[in-house]
Amino acid sequence: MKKQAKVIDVSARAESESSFTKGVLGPLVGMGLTINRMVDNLTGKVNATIRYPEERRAYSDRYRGAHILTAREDGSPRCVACYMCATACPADCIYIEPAEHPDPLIEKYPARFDIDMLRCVFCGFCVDACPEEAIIMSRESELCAFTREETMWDIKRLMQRPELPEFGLGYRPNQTLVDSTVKFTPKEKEKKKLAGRVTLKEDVEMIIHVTFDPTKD
Amino acid sequence: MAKEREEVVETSSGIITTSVDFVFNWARKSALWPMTFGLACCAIEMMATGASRFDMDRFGAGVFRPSPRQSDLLIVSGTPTLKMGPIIRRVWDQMPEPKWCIAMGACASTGGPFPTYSTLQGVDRIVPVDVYIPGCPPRPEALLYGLMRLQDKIMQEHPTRFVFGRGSVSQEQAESREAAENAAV
Repeated sequence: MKKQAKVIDVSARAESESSFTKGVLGPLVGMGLTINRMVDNLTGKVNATIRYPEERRAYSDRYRGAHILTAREDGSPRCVACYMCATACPADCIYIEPAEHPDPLIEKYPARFDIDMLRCVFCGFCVDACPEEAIIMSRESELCAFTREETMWDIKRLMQRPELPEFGLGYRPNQTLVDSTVKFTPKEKEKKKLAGRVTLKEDVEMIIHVTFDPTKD
Repeated sequence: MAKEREEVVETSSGIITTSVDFVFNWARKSALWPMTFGLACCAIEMMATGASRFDMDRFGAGVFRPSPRQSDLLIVSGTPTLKMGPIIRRVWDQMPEPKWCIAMGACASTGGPFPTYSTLQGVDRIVPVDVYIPGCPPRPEALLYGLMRLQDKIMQEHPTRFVFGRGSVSQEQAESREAAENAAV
C-alpha cells in the first residue's frame, strides 16, 4: 500500500512563523543595505566606472592582442616562412611570401609577412602553431582605422611599433622562450588599483611561472 | 607653424565659418546617439560599453535610440549576413543626416572568419563606414577608443559649407587645401 503523503497546511505555518518584527523590520533591513550601497556610490567609496582613457584595466598576461614578430640576435625576423600559422589561421588573415635565406641552416625567411588585423579574430592559433616561437601576441587592443588599407600590417610594424612598450607582451608559449627576442623593451607590468572593489580581483596573476626576459633569454 | 596653419584655414573657409564649424562639430561629437542595433556577439560588448563599468555616456554616446530617426551613429556590431544586408541599408537610409557608421569587430569590417556564401564580406559594401574596429569581439575599451577617433574625425568636418557655400573657392581647390592642411598637421 502506498504511504500516505504528509499534508502541510502552508497558510497555517506561515501564520505561525510570521511576526510583527519580521513583517516590519525585515524590509527595513533590506532597505538599509540598499541605502548603504547608494551612499557608498554617491560618496565615491565604491565606483564601478573605469574612466577609460585615463584609467585602464590591467589585462591578463595571456591577453590576446595584436601580434608581435620576434627577432633573432641580429634583429632579423625569427620567422622561417613555414606557413604553419597561415594554415592554422581560421580567418585566413596571414599572408606570407618566402625568400631564400643566405644561411643554409635557416633555409627561408619571410620577404613579406602581412596580417590583416581587421580579419584577424585574435584566437592565438598562430602562436600555438609556430614551431619557432616567431609570432607572439601583445596586450595591445586599441586598434582602429579609418580605412581598410591601414589595417594591413607589414613585417616592420609587426616587429616594432612605438606603442608596444606601453602595452607589453600578451599570449605567448607557456615556457621560457629560448632564442627569441623582441625588438623593444617591455615595461614592467604595473599593478594598478582599480575601480570597483567588490567584483574585481585585479591583483591575481594568472600564470606566474611564465618567464620571459628578453635581455636574459 | 601655428600662424601658417591659421592662414591656410582662414583662406580656405574664413574665420566666421570655421568658428561656426567648430560649434557645430563640438555639438555633434558630444551627442552621438547610437542606434540600438546588435547583430551578434559584438552587441554584447556594445551593451557592456554602455553599462556602468565602461559607461559610454561619458562621451555623450550612451543614449541608445530605439528608432533610426533619432540616431546619429550606426554601430554595426556583429556578423552581417546577406539576409540582414538590406535591413542594415534600410536602417542607414532611415537615419537623418548627419550620420556616422562604426564597423565593430572582424565580421562587420571584413567578414572575419566567415568567407562564406551567406556572409556579407564587410558592411562597407552597403553602408559607408567611418571607423573600423578590429577585434573578435573588440573589448569595450577598443570600442571607446574607436568612438574617440570618430569624434576626432567629426571635428575635422566642415558642416557650414553646405549652408554658406565656399564662396569663390571651387571643390578641387578646397580639397587640395584641406589635404595641405592635413599634411601640415
